[in-house]
Amino acid sequence: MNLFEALLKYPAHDYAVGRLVFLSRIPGEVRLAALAGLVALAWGLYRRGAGRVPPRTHRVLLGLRVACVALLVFLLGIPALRFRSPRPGGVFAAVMVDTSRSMSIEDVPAEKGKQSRLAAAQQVLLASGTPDDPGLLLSLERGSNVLAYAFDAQAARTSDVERLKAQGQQTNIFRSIRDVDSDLRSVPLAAVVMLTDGCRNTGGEPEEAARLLEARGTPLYIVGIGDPRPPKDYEVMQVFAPRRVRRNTEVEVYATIRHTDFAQPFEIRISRGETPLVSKRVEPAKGTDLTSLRLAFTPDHEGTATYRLAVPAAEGESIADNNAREFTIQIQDDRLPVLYVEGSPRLEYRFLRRALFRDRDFRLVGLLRLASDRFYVQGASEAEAFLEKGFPETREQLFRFEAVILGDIEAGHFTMSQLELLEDFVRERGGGLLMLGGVNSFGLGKYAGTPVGRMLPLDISPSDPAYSEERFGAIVTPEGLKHPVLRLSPDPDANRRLWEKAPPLLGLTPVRGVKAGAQLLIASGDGRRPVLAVQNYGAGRVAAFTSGGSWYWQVSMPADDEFHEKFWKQLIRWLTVGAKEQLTLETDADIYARRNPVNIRATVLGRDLRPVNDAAVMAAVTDPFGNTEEVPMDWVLTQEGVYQARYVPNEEGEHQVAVRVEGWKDRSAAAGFLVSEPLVEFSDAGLKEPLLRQMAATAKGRYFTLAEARELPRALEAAVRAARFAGVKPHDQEIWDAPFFFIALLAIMGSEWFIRRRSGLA
Amino acid sequence: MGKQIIHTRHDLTLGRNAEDLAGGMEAIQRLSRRRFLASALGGAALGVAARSALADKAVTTGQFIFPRLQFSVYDNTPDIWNVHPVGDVNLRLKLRELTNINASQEPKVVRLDDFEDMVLNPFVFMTSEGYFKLNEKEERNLREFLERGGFILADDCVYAAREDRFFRTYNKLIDKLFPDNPMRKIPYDHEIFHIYYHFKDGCPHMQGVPHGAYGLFERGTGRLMTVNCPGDIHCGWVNRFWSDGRNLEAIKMGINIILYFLSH
Repeated sequence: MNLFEALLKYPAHDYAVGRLVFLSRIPGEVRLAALAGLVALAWGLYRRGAGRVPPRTHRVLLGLRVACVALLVFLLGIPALRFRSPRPGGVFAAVMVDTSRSMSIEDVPAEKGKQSRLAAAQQVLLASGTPDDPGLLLSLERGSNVLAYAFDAQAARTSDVERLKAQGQQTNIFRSIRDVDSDLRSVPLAAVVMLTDGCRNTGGEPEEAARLLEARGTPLYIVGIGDPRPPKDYEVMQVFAPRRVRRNTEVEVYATIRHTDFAQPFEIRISRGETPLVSKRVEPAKGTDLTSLRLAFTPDHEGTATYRLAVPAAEGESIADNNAREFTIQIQDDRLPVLYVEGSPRLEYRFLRRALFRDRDFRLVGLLRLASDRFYVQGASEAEAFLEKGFPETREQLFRFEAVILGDIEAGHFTMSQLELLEDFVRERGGGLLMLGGVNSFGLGKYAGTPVGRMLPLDISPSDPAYSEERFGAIVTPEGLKHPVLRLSPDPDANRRLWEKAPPLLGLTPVRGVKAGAQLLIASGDGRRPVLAVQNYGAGRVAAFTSGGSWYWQVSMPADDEFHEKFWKQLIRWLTVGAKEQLTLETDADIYARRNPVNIRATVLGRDLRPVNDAAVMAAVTDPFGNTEEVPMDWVLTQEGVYQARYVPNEEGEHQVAVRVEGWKDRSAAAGFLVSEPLVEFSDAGLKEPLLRQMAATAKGRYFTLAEARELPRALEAAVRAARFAGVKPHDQEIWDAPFFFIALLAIMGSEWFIRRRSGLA
Repeated sequence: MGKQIIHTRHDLTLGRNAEDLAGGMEAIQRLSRRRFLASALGGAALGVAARSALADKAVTTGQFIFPRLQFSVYDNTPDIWNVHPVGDVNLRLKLRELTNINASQEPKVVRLDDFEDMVLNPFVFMTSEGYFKLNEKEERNLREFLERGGFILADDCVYAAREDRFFRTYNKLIDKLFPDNPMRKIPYDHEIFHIYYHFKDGCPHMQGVPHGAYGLFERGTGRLMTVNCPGDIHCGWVNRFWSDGRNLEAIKMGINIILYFLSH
């Protein structure tokens, strides 16, 4: 121990490094006020005797008294030296690099042309790695331990930033930040640095993640990479198509296309594999970058098929991966029974049966009245032997059909309960009803005021004029030309021409008019009399065809012309679209990413179409390689007749699902789904600068553009330093009891007494 | 009588059909015999009076027209295309009496060279005794008529009570028009023989060569597009040359053919 240390208690180094603090609980302001007060008192007291000593002596005495008071006040403040040591082990900084697919977009200027966003991020982090150009990683490593993370849907540590690839299918910024926070929860995290374009497409709000860091006291520094202006791009944003159709039924597909910075017409196509199905030239909507459109095609095969709707890549388009979307449709092939009740043998019956006889989708079951109490049943299966007794009388009997056609048969032939059953069939079961023209149809058949009359799309009355045998030309209304029933050609102009050339019809049941809400598709040539009208009724559909002479279309046109057949097939198909089935199966989406769970749902109804609960239901999922996995389905207790199961696909490609119910031999249902790479990363893929700026501000960090990235290391220094000492408790060494201060006090007081004595004041 | 159902052979057993039909047929025969006597003098004038109780109950609907086809024969057989029109009249009457088909009673003639008129009448009756030949246009029209869904009932009027000139000529004609699908004998269990009345031995044979009825079966569906009878059922409709029973059988076969046409 040397003299300094002996007098001042601690070595000189401590006084050089430590910071002087006062440990007294008396606030500094109070102490200063007390000092000022005492100095004033001392000066006031000394003024009394000022005339008795020379001014110089007076000033010396005053100065000594003030020094004494000040020293006392100083010591009363309990002076100490305070020391703060940095954390042992240092602090950490996390560097997060976005490796989702949007980072592969090449829109960042480079020395030659453009480079991808990820390449630009790697350049910021690694630079040349020399002392003159160390890159962000090396700069950060000078003051902290740096951990690098690659993130897309989640974050994972990486030790090789240089080899990172932009392959992530989705971006979840919220989860990624949370992952890093969790991973580094037990260490001092000085800062989080994120290099990203901000294009997130799944998961929670990034703002919430920024608040997470802010609460922890960890600032977030973000380098935004990419062009904020959306690149010139065609993007297929949405595709809507029915999940299930009958074979040979027209499928309508609705799509929304975003055409960023493109104003010229573009082509859109639907294909299946390599086979193009339909294409259309589209004029983009004006004043907006979104255009909705409709395409239609008719599948002619059965099973589940995957289709692709695509816009060919245009010149100057930087992202081509989002130009297409795939969708799946299940095409059903079982022949649906349609009941045709005819009042007497007539040409319309013959030719309508002939038109549908070869249809693979429908089985026409004829109930032909030959006399008032004699029927001829055609095309019925063994299970339909109840038709021996005439028209069905129970739900179970009638509901097995998909549609009912009433020919030239009067309402009086049926009982009221049969007519009411027919109404239930349409309204609840979703079956279709078609009434044909004849001398005993519509009003003439006394259907007005009956349940069937309620369902018809026409206003009818018993006093309607008699059936007319005239030959007349039929006009398709503008509404009719757009209706799927009358779409005999996919080309609208060709379709219109086909109908303009259609032969006349023979015979018409006059009615009063069309009900409000119904659609008139065909009218007589003078436009006054309805010929074909349709409407929805409950879950089902109803059509009224007032002519009894469409057979004339068939015999008036060449034998190989399928005008007549096509019309009836399309009308029957349209009628049966809503019909409920006993066993249906669907998945919650058409397309999944690998390892995303597929929710499978089946609805099981009995023969009377009432839900069946607690059945043994099994789903069998077959992957693209033919491997089948059976998954038991559980009844959803809160939904009658509904069963569900979950399946996680491991392979990409088309998957098929089949469901069966134990004890049901003749019923099954099938569906399909596709597992493929999602394309969400290229949707709306411009740099999200406002979002990133907000995140950085929330987390008390800062946002940098790519050009400003060089400033990052310096901006991080303060954060790193603060983190180094954050949470570390300071060490205090009191010095008020150092001998020096006691000696100094004695010296001051002794000098003052000596001078006062010599001056004659003491 | 309760509701009686006539089933297709495909739906239920034949035995059950026969049982069901027996009682009904008896009633029909009793009525028909009375009506036949009443119509022996001509028939057309008896239209209203000839309607039976069954027809009263039947609900009228769109009209069915039964026309005769006019064509040329080239041999000197006396009975040509328009032989015995009263047979058609009687059949139309019986059609109306015994079924609920609203058969028009108006006579009608169609010609193969007037195709537009032909297609307005998708069912056509053709008969004569002798050989015939159609020109190219007529042949073309006949083929097109059948392919569009038209139907021809051909019946041999049987020259000299024993020959089959018309029958063979018609078969040959159809085979020429449809070379990949020749005329075939209609089996006795075919629907056309059981759809309304029951003929266990096939088409009734009044006179001539008993070939059995032949038909052209549509490819893909098996539907009969035309029927050729060798046994002169038309003369049975005339109700003059044989017993009431035999004549009635001919009428019934005509009804079966028409009902088959209207339901297939």
